[in-house]
Amino acid sequence: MSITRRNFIKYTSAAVAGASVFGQVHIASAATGVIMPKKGKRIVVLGGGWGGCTAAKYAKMEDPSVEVILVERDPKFISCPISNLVIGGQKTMKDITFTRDKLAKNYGIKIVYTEATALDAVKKTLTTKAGVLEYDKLIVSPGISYDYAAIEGLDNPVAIKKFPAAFKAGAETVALREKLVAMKPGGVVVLAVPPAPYRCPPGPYERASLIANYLKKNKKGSKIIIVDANDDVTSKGPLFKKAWADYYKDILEYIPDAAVTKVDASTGVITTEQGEIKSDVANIIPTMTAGKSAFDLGLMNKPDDKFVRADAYTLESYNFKDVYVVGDSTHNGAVGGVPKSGYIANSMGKVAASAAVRTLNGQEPLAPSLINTCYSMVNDDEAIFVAATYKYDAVSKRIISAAGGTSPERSVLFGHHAEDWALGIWNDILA
Amino acid sequence: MQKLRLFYCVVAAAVLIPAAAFAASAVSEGERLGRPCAGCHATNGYAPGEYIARIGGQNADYMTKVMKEFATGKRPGSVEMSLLAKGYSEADIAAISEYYGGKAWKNSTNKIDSKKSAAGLKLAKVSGCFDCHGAKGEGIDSFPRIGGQNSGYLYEALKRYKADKIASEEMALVKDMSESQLESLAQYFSGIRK
Repeated sequence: MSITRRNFIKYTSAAVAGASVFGQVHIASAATGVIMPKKGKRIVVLGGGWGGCTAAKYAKMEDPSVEVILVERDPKFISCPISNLVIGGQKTMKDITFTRDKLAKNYGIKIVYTEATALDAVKKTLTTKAGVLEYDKLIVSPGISYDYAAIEGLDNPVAIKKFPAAFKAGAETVALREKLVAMKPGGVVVLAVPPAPYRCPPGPYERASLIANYLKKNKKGSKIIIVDANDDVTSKGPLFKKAWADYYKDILEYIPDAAVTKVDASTGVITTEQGEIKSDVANIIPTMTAGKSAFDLGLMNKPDDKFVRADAYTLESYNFKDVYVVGDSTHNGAVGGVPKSGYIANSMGKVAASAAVRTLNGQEPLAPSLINTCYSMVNDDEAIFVAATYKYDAVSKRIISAAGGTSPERSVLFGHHAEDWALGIWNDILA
Repeated sequence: MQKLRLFYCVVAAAVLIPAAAFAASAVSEGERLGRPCAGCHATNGYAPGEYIARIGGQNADYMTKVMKEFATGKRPGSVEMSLLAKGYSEADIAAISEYYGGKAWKNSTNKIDSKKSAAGLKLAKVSGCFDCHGAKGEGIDSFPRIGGQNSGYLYEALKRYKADKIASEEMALVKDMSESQLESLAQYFSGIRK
């Protein structure tokens, strides 16, 4: 991790230096501060996660003559899927950390490591800390943000450090793993599941299974208590419950309808709607909203919206023409009942890229077609899954499920599929 | 001279740009529907793992047949595909199969056990595998390509034929083989790299 952190600082200072240079250009040329002036057709993609990288790559694949610029803050791509296996001890950070170099090398995508600060959808410019980028089409993939303020006592640096959410893979993932490793045998782990909708519906339950697996083998007498803000397990419920009964009977306890209302970073006491629990380690996953940049850029359609409304056919945002949105930050009421999964972000990236390229070329966009598979490991070897296909429904004007279901049971073969799925989709996103 | 060159450039651009605009975004129905498959099978269907099949450059007729069998429950052993295939019409399935079938094949990069592979070659010769699948396992007519396919996937498929989970007269010969023999066959065919 120290290497990652060092790289991060290195790149960050480079970005800051770049910004100051462009700042001077800004003063010199007074009006625009435009960097990389646009010459031909251009798509800018903001956010280099699952949705954004896929969109950038597939836009270039569909029309190599379009210039594609990817704007992203973090030089490392750290995969959230499979990060539960880092927490469980089966994988390391190295296994889930990649670069975006092949997107530049194989497809000619230009990558700018900086942060976006403002959007002018009339002038069609995205302002970043490195300067202003002109676009014909903008695809944003803002991911998610945590609403720390919704839980009393959580919205401060001490509590955030004490109770890592670990639903953005990286330093939070490492922090949670280290806390589990450091915990004395006989300790109590609390895992708080946020109210739906949140990123990766089965994610918290997979994590709880893998933590239970770790405690069973390494921390005798320890326990994990899941406090769920929802009234039941939100995904693959019967399969998770069977695995918990078979493997973690005395280790894992599940409490539904137990939203966390308050945390105390000095004592580790977690207060829920069902009472208080004294924790040794607590993974508090807060309520989620669309990534902060979605709010900052003015993409929210209604005052209380937490996710971005977009047309289900093209993923063009309700607020701005030629601005598309993909991934976890999309509003389910607008796009339809798709899960906030990595696979859906990957599928959405392809839909938005095609719609942007085609309309840029004066062609009609094509109907969206999406797939989701999502595997969850329940121990070192066995997995369960959900698999579904999605298509556009012209009557409801939403994306709907065309077919799907869960695995009938857990198996080692599904565990192999889980691992190979990750290899396949990482290839599809990054190579 | 320079002016003339510029003139030609402008003419060339005027001629080329509209053509490029049309050609640029020619997405077939198979590609529209087939792109999301790459979320497991990787871009162009070149699945890098062991247990998920390579489909880029696979025989289109074979893929159409298999996808239909997934959709109708005739191949329940592949649980994910049995669920997913139901989301597509027969025309969709044919289009997706054409799209991936039209890709160039790229061989597996799985690590191969040379001892098992050698045993697999001997077994393949006496069992007549090459008669239907070709001298390099490249596939003939509607018989699938198995040469250079991923090893874990081949092994799992062979076990399903053995257990009668996939009905096939041609593949009935594997019913008398041991699992170790099936693994050897899988190792041999996956290891074909030419």
